[in-house]
Amino acid sequence: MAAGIKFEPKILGFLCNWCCYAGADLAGVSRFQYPPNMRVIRLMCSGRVDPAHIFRAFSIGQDAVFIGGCHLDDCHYVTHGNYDALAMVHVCKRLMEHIGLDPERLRLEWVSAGEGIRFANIMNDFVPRMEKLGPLGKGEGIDEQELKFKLETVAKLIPYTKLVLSERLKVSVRTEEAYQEFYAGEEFNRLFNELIGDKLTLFLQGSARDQEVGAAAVDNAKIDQILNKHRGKANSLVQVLLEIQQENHWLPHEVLDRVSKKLNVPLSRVMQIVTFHKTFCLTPTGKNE
Amino acid sequence: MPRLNSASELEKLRKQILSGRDPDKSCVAICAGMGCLDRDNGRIISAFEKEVGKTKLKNKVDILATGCHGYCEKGPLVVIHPEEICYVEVTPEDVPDIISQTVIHKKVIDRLIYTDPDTGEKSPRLADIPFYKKQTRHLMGSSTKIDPESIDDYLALGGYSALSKALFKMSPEDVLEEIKKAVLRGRGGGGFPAGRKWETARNAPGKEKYVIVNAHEGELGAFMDRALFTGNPHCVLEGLIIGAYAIGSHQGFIYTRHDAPRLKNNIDMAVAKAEEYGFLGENILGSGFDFHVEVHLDIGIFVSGESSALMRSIEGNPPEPRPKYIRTSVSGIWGRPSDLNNVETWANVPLIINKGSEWYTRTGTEGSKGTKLVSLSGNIVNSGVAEVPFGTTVREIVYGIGGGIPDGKKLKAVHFGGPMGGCIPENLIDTPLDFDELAKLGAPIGAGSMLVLDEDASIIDVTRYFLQFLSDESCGKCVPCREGIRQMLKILNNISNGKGKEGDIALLEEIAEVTGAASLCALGKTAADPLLSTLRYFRDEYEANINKAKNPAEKRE
Repeated sequence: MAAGIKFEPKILGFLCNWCCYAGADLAGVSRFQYPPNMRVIRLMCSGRVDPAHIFRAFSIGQDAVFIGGCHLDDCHYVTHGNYDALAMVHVCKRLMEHIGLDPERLRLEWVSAGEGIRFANIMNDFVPRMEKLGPLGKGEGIDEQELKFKLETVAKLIPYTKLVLSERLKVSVRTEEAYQEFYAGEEFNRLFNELIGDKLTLFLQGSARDQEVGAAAVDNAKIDQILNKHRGKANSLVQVLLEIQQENHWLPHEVLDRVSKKLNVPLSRVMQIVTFHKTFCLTPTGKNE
Repeated sequence: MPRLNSASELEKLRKQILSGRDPDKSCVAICAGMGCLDRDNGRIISAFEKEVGKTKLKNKVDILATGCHGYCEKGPLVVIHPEEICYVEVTPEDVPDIISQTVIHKKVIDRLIYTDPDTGEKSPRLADIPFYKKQTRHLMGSSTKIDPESIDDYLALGGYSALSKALFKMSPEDVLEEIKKAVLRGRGGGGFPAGRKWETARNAPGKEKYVIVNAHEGELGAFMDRALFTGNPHCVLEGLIIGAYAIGSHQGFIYTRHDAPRLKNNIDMAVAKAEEYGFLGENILGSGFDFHVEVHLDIGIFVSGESSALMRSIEGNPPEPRPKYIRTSVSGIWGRPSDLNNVETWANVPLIINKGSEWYTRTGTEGSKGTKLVSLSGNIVNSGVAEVPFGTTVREIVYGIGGGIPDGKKLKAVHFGGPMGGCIPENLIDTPLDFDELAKLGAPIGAGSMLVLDEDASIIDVTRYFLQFLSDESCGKCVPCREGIRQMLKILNNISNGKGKEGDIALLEEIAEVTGAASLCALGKTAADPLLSTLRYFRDEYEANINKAKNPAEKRE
């Protein structure tokens, strides 16, 4: 940290419309002082927060994520979404630990609409802690490239994680005690390691290999050659992709990016085409496939 | 080769080509169509080349790798001109004999000629073989004489004379009128009159217009377009240029698919040659008419054959159909009028222009004129591509040309039009081949694939196969198609596995009706057609299966 410039952590807040958001509002109206580091996204329920939101926030440069919901059993919906948020946060904290991030960077709190002072107190506690931790990654001693790669890998695993969360890591009794007992228990530890942890380790290794393969993909000169052959016409997109795949056996993201820029076709369209046809391969394949 | 700049230059060139050719010179035409390609005909071609080189006949014999001759069942096929001796099931080991006996001494080799399995009668000449004898080969007739990679072969047979006639002796209106008078109906499946489609595109507002060849041919069991286009690409190209002239279009597209590399190769070659000779490009034959063609290669999934989906994929978008309240002939590629016709439709155009609509309408029935290519497959003795005039009865095609059902089994049904077609049972096979007659029976002719089923085939399994195919190929954009097909398939699977319930048939019919009415494009609209047509003729088989009795088809075993 350069001398004189204080580190200001960037915090993203997901606040429930009925309780925590109203609580924050009250804190403001009541003129309670708290540090202004948090940007707020209002949700209808804290249960709406998805692991993908959290890791996306980290990967676009947020240093911490705060989730605020109603007190347990006070949820404004019959679904009791805040219990889901609680389960999700437990799993996400474990994921963060697994990739070497401090789990304290993710915080879940219950604040009711009348507790403006509580909200301000939490912020007064949370922000200095984050200041002390330092910027995401740097504070933990992970370099930028590695962090990016790790977050991407976790993001890939999120759909699976959610499946495990809903199928195997569910607590049948919706009480605070039952949740605490389960997520602190040995059973959760074992299930997490077996179902998610080991897989994540494998994925990290596999993705590292993919990155190497991706780097050794077709050289740009060859892609340009193919593109020039079609005089850069946008409607020859499929043909270009087919020819590149013939050369390279699969289509790495870098290549799609280049094709999109060269043909002046939005990347979204390129992705639409390559995911529409089963012919295209977005993961490395063997030579004879 | 300098560009040709007038009709007279074209005729001069044609004379020059013909004078350089001796009509009595021996020529060995080896079928290089798809069926024969699979049977190792590459080795036969190289064996011929080696043998000719060895016997110092280089200047006396031509070797021709042609497109599909049609009689795929008996491939690899070799035809020796000018006698038109046809040898079937040739192996590389036969090549020295063919050269030394047939080519040099004009003697027919007995063991290689076609022998009728029933009568034992031998037919040395191509035209005498029953498979060919009963056809009317307007389009496929020249397939044994043309090397698809050589434009000279096509010119020698009078190629591009229709184009020069249209450009110099007819106005675009005359051409359109001639096509309308010929009642040329779209061969891709719908049977929509091509003349009317052209007229709509011609009259549609906008300066930029497009013409497109649909060489997608995704129908299961259809392989005639590929045979025709691979074997004689110039004939389709000529039709396309004439069509563009009539419509007033200056840009054409040819849609090809990634799994037919030879077709793409031949088309590329033909387009390059046509550009070189001046049949494409600016100022064609000095007439002042400009026309360019772009060959579009795409991934041929089933739905891409649908017109609006095909046009979207030419634009570079995923092949998703759109509702067609406005026809593609008014708003197609990039929202401009685009006329899309099937390969076979385009191939008919030069014929009509050359010989006149009066000659053309002499063949065929009241509503369907000319000839139709059909591809025969399934439980039939002679599978292959056949060209018959409209009005030929299905019986004639199956028994006369197709040679009947193998192993003396009985015919059960003939299925037309692949996964979006329908079938007719054995007792209706005296129906003539005709767009309207067959559509009335719930078995539209489609693109012309005929799947012949013998008595052992299970109708439910065939239907299930088609539905499975469609459920895999549905693009998923509209719900009625995606879900409707899936649910029909589910019920059908249950029936087939002996878990059918009372009321399943009624439910199937209801889903079929909704899917047909609510789907966006022809894939969904006609997805239930095979099911409905089999329900119409083979309801007892479904009922029997539901009643947990054995399938009638199995009972006979």
